[in-house]
Amino acid sequence: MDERLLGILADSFPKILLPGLMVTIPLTVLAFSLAMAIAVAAALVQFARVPVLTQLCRFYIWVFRGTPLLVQLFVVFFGMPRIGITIEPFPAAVIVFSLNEGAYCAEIVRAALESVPAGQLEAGYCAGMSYLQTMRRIILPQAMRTAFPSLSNSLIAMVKDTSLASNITVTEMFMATRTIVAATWEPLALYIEVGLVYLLFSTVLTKLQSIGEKKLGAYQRQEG
Amino acid sequence: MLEVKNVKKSFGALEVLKGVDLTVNKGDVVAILGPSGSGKTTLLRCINFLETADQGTLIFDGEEFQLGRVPKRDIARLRKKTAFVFQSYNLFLNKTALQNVTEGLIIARKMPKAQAEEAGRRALAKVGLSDRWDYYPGQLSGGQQQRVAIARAMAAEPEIIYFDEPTSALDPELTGEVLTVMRQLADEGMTMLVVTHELSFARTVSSHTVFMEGGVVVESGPSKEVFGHPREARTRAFLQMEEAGQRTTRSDFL
Repeated sequence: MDERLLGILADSFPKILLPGLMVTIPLTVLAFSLAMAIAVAAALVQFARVPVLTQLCRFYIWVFRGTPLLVQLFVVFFGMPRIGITIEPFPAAVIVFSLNEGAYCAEIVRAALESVPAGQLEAGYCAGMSYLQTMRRIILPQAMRTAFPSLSNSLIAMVKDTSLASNITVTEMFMATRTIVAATWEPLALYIEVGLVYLLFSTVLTKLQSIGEKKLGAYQRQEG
Repeated sequence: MLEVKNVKKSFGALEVLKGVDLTVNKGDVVAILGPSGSGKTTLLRCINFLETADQGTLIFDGEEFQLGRVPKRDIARLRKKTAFVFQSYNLFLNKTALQNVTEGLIIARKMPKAQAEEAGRRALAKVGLSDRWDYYPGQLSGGQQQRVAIARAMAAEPEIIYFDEPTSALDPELTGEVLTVMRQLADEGMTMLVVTHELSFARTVSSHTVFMEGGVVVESGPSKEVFGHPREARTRAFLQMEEAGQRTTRSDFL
């Protein structure tokens, strides 16, 4: 490697990392938090078989799982202004990512809820607790423990998917890298460099996942 | 204290309960015996609204209810006067032994936490599990889990405890510890309605025995009479067959 290339890599590192910390991570955290709220709500509605709302949830999940994320981004950012709704790039990305991720995670949470033995709900009733009390204190905590690895997986996938936001002019890590490539013409080194930063983020999340699993899993540890 | 009349329940085309009557007085320990599929578990589940009976009358503490049409509010109120011990324990898997006992007290009965924990520790001591209070169900044996479930039931100070085949899921060598706790509870005067396969428990602990078959009560009366002088041929046949079977598979614990 020549000195010029090393210089470019060193100079570009903070220029890639900074939008990563300032845009990619906030976008991920915001969108994933909203997605969790959507997912739990949609899963609970379906689990309780609330009429009308259940059908609405199925429709929402069908649409967002059935169309490409990139198309969803384009519809919201480039399409909506045609009907008078103009949304800034960052909020548009947050909306689309949370709706898209929420649809996938709703299915994960729903399946986890259904995996909790029916006897747990009956035991709650027989202890005098209401449906909502039992859901909140017994069923949902167990379901979230079951769903945790899959949800973590979705979160890690999402960190990388945020690179698609560059297509609607959000200046996240990948967009920043493209700008530097255009100026220096070192695509190989720079795209590998940004890939390594994504890898770093994913590694940190994987580590957090295993810590979280240990913490949540206390009740699943068997004796001996 | 508890009376049900003419309870009927079908699952699809299958008629499981064909009009069952049952009376439990305060302080009674009533054992319900019968072959698999006789409807005894369904009866117990209908009484505590885990299944909705198609018809029948339930009288609890003098209050009369039409099964199948009991408002949710009344169901919740009645459940707070009763407790249920399941065949498969159904301990809250995400809660420790002590939390399993206190959860219903704190959340449903609005008992202050300190008071609930005191009641919980007392109940766990009674079933001989004081030293396991911070264990999760997954860390306990089946017999220990069922004893926690009994502690959970009695800590609520219910008027009656329903037991649904409490020892059927246990290895034979673990049934003894559960039956011992149940006998102790009976000696203290707790009103109990017990669906069971344990003939020795029914014979020696229960004050009354009900024999069910094919969705009807074939015979009922004081346990001494039902075991000593069964009136019905079907009861005799069942008792003989069961006793022969149980003598070969397990020793008498009681």
